[in-house]
Amino acid sequence: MYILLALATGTITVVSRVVNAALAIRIGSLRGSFVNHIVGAAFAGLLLAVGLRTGVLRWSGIPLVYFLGGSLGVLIVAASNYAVQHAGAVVFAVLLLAFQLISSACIDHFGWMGGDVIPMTLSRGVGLALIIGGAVLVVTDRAARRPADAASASPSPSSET
Amino acid sequence: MPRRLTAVLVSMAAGLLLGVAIRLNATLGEYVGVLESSFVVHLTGTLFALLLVGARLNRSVWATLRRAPRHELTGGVIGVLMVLLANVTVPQLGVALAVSLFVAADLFFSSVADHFGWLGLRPIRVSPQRVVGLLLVLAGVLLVRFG
Repeated sequence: MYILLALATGTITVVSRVVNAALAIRIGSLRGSFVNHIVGAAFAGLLLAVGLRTGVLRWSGIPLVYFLGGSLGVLIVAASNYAVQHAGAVVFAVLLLAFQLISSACIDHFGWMGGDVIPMTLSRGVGLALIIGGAVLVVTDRAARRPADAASASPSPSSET
Repeated sequence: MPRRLTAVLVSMAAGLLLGVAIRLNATLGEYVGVLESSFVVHLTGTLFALLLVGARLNRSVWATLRRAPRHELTGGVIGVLMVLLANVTVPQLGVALAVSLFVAADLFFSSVADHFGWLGLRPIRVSPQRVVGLLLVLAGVLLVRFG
């Protein structure tokens, strides 16, 4: 069940990337990220306002660090601007993916930031390495056969919907 | 330091921070609820983005936005759903397995979308290299899950 939900998350990521790329071509990716977040805040706020609840929204008694995730997301968009411009979209995509898996495995291993401890094992490490290797093949294949895409974060109509 | 090296380091840091952000949002979700967390994430993200782009949000940007097709403004709605689903799955699966599944589904679905030219993408047929890559990803996810 949770596995299917996680797969659904990855699938809608693709839709969001295409939509956001189109918006970024129009107004720039950082301003696009601002629009995204304000639309998202309004949408989620509306759902909460009409009575949808999954918990209790409270501000006290929660370590401040847990409120930093949203800002980190925006910071990553800013980082992607710089990295894509100076290292290329393929290098950025592969490194983002690889280091996201590495930090996830570290967080699990040590149980950092409120999660359960899930120790690193040899097979888990090999599994993560296979995912990274496979992703390199997929991403470089895409770039090789659609050269315009290598510059998708810079103004180019290639991902316009 | 040459710009390219800086850009490589920035890419690595962005990846590390992405894992951290996913964990932080999920833990916030355990405190306040998964939808409530997604709301806070988008609210704080709005404020932080405003801080970064502030002066550059001039009238011409709003004019451009008004002319933009409505579907281009739906990224935030999808984003709320993405953070919400991540908040539901990460505490159950752990960050590494959850992120592995996000990545795998992303690579599979974008290959299918490429192949058929969905989402307005120019069609790119699936190649042998891509099939090998996707099989490696699948094997990797199975190892992370069952290994």
